[in-house]
Amino acid sequence: MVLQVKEIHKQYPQFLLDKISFELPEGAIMGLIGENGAGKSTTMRIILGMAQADSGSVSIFGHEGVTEQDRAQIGVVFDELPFNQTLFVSHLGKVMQGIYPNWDQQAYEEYLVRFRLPDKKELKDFSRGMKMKLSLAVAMSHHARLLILDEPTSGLDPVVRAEILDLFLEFISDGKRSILVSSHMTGDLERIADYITLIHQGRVMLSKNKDELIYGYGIARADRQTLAAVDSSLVEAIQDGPYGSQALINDRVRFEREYPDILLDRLNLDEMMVMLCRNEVHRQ
Amino acid sequence: MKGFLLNDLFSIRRLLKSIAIVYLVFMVAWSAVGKPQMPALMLGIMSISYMGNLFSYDEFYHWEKYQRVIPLSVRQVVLARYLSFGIAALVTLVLGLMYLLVMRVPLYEIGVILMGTAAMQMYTISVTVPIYYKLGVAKSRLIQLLVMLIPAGIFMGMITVLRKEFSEFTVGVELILGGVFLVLLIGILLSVRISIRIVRKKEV
Amino acid sequence: MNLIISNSSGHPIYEQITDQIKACILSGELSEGQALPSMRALARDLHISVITTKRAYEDLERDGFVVVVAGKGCFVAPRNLELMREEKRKQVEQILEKAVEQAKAASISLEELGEMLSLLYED
Repeated sequence: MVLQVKEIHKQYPQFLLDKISFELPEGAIMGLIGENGAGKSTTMRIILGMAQADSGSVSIFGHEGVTEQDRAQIGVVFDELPFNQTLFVSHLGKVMQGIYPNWDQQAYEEYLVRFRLPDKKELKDFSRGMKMKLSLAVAMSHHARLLILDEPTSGLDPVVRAEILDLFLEFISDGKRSILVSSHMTGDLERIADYITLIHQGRVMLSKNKDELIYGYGIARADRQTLAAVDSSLVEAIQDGPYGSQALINDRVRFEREYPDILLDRLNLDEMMVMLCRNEVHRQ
Repeated sequence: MKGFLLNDLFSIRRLLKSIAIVYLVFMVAWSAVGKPQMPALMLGIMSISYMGNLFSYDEFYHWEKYQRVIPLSVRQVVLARYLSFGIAALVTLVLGLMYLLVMRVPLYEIGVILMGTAAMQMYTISVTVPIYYKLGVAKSRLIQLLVMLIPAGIFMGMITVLRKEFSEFTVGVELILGGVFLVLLIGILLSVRISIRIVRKKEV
Repeated sequence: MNLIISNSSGHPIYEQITDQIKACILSGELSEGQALPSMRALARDLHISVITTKRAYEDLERDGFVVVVAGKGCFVAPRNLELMREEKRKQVEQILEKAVEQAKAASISLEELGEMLSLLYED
């Protein structure tokens, strides 16, 4: 396991992070999903050592705590460029060279060319997509083993997003590097994530293999009475509407066998999130 | 740490032009009025004040977020900032020296002016850097001004006295100056420790 | 080898990959001992997650179509006639299943269906 979060617990004045636990295996991509304010960013900050938990532990690269050598191997991308934006990309390269022991200037320059990021132009004049690509270029140019990304693709057009997702797959292609990414772009995660962790109101609601989730769960749609009659061990949540109801089913195979006549749709992460996170939905 | 120094240097590059222009104006104006010691002193103080912009940049661009995830300790990050200030102070002293030599100011006076400037810079750095770290730039500017006015008066007075009463470095004068700089040095070391403690406590 | 993946069919992507690679092996397009792309390279080229290609390869190995050699990769297994026959049988069964479904929906009896089958077989 490249990252193990064990029962991270932190009390804020208005918010509680309640025994957050999940694991990221080496060579995998984990998507962290959840509403704004659910605790994703806070969890990431604790993982990175930017904030301290009240109890619980974080193990990175097989040991507890984050040392300076660990940080040299962790690449971080925030939702905003955290660099002085009056600099040029060449300045930034020199700055990073003086910070990271394993800085790979050649790799950085190759990314700059590949992403068409021009020099002699102040970073503040870059578009949002370019800034994000620059953040990624920096994060991937110091031989990092773990990338931690907080909303890297929000606000980006589909073309740029596709480029970035391909980059992620390329990053993990040697099997030794891993990615933890929090995102609202559930469609993207459905495609390239290996694991999905849903955080809601400071708690982990589920943390699973993506394919087992997408193909093992399902959304059943029928009238309220029919769904109410379904064995409750199969049902995670039910949402009633004026013209019918839908239920989040946790065992597709069993459901199709026992209730072959009830419509069972393929799981969609957005719908799953809504069903598990909205207050008016009854959770079992 | 070198990376942070470079970051500060690159961030400041725009300001350098403004400072250069202001300095030129000062030099011309004050030498015309017959007070060549003023530009060196003013540049010495101005440069430290300008360096406060580094903290503005940090705040505006949330550089402190990134500081927490890089392989540098808080100590190295804070030291790098002090070093940037130190380099700025040194550069302005050298520029001041060159100017005073060109203006054919007597060596003793040059010595007094530069030492006064250096003392003023050391004092300012010691006091204002922790304030920047603690309160952020917006609140600090005002405090900085107040904090500097009284000692400014003292240091200026000291320079005036040294120039008027003495015309060379006597042993007594050297001892006093030595004592003053020792205190200032200790002040800087304390300042660094305080700053590190302040930054460590901050949660990002 | 072509791998055409549908994102919107209910058919899991790993199954689609498995089915298509099996078809390639059965048709001879992939020959015995030939190396398959690494599961990570495949994921990258298909723009999907590694856990999906991993599952596809595991299923292929489980069904005897490929052999995974640790450290070297994934190779097409030696031709196993039994296996291939079994696979073809499964495919025919699936097609017949569809025919039966449609026949029932159109109220065609088992006898009628049997007659149709005999006629077609003799052609």
